[in-house]
Amino acid sequence: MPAGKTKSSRMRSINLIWISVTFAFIYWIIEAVRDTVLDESESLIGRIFITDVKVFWMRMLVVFIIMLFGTYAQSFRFKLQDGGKSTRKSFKNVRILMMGIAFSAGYWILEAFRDVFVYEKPSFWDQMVQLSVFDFWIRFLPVCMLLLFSSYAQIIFNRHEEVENALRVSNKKLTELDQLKSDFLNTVSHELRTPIAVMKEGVSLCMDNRVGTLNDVQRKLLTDTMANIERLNTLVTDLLDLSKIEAGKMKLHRYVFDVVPMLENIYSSYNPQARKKQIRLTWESNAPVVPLYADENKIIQVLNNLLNNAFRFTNAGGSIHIHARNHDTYIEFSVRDTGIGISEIDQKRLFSKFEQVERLNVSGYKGTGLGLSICKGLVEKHDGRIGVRSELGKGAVFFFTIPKLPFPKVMIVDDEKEILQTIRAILKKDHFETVEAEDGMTALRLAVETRPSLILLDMHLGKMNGYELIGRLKQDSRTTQIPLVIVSGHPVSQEKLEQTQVQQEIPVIQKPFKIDELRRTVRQAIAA
Amino acid sequence: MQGKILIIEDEKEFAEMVQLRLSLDGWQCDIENHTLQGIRAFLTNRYSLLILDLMVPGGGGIKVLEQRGINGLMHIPVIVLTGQTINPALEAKLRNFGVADLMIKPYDPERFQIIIKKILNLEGAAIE
Repeated sequence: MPAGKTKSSRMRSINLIWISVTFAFIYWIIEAVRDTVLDESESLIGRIFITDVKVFWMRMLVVFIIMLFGTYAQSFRFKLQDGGKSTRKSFKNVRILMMGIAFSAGYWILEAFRDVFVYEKPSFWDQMVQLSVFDFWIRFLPVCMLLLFSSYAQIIFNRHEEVENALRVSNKKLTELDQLKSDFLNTVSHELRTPIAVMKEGVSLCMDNRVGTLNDVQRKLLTDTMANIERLNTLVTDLLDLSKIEAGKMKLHRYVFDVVPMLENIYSSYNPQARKKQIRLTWESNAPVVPLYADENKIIQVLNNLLNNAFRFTNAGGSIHIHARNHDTYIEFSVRDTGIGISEIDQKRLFSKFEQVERLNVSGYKGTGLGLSICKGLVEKHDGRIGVRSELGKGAVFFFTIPKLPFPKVMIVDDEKEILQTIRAILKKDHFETVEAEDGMTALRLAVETRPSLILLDMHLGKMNGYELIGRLKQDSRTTQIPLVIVSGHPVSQEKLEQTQVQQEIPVIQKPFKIDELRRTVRQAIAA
Repeated sequence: MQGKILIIEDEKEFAEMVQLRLSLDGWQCDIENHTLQGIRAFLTNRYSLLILDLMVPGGGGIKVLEQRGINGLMHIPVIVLTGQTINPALEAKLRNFGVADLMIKPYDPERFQIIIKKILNLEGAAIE
């Protein structure tokens, strides 16, 4: 495969210019041979390195025509490869060579000038055309080198262009394919969820006694139907999640959040279920505040999955414990239960797709067998690790780690010190690092130096206004990707924003703003 | 007097069930299955609420939201009800359009009713 590739690119790089140079050379030799055969007064070597200037120019004319034709043919070929899109581009493919030829001609003329004005040789025309053989070769040698060098440079340049073009094309194809995958998943998701929504809505309208009173048998039938609709819904959601993970389409929306309130919430949502099943549910964290820069929803999803399993396999009188342990470089979450436990053999295949462990004493449990492989995918997406420790009959501990990432930096650009302070205080509370700038120039410099995850900017900034700043941030490849949020006291002109060639929509917060609005917008901008 | 609600949704059965649920609570509902007809209905009648699916033939829900902005009808609340997965970027976009709530199909009927009541009672004064 690699050998074939090199060969084909080499084939392509032997372009018509080189072929014409070779033809010109062969023509030169043939001419010399012919002259020698016709007139034996001079040797072949002498004929090749011509002694007669007239003969030289006659021959040179033909050589020029051959080379000109070669160059034109090559540029035409490039144009064809280009799909005939632009003539400028095909010229670009021979422009270094053209430059070489122009420089050669310039050099030749300059030399002639020098000979006339410095060395006081008689006629300029003679110095251009009717040189002595010795002078001619002295001058022709650098010209040859110049031409050789420029054609070599041209070939390297073209090859580079070719590679770049090939990359661009394959990149475009990949992006299209990627988009196709996203669209497909989105459509499938929509197509699968809509019929479920119809069924659920219909059954729930009946069950609410909204369209007539149900008798007991009808109620029982509809309750079972509803339970299976929910089951189907879970299966569809799980399958979509898993296909997203496998297609590399599961995106993390990271944000800084505190693990402790998250655990509190999870605990309260499972507590009623625990009471009903007479299971003791507890939770613990080894630190009062555990900020983490990760996708909170995905972590909740993993914990919910582990907790659902724990509840399924734990009998009344047992206990379930949720734990978060703060380590130096990572946070470890665990869900421990006193349920039926998992054998060593089962532990190994637990995280694979559609695997379900033998369900001892658990009647009526129907899972999808996808939950743990989704958990694994979500944890690994965070570069974490997931595992289980268990012994049959002695309960199980499922644990996963989430590495701590440095907290995102937010740059605040505002010429009013008080506003800077207010925003800084709000962001610090959410564990962001902040970088501050009071004018456009400082903002540009700091944006390049510190590479913030987000820039909050005012439009009123003294010398350089917000529009100009946005334009310059978007033009610079180092800062173009940084999401922006406008915090402005004046209405923002969409027209002026469009002139800055911003691709995405920039969220706008009007001053005076509400703290929650700022926090929510920052959250969405960073997570997106 | 109860306000009128517009449902733009291409799944006929689903739209009719939502209509039935709302009509049992006394709301009057119109259904449109196509984006352009939806926009026309939305612009010509005075609705108190718009329930909008995002994947509707003829341009989709976003187009309706754009028209709502252009025609100065931002005061009419919108609930987006979709089978699509909502990521934060889309959510931010919808919030920028002033969408009151986002619900994923299949939705929780109880929550749906609570939200409708909340929105319409809140907006009631402005509509009268």
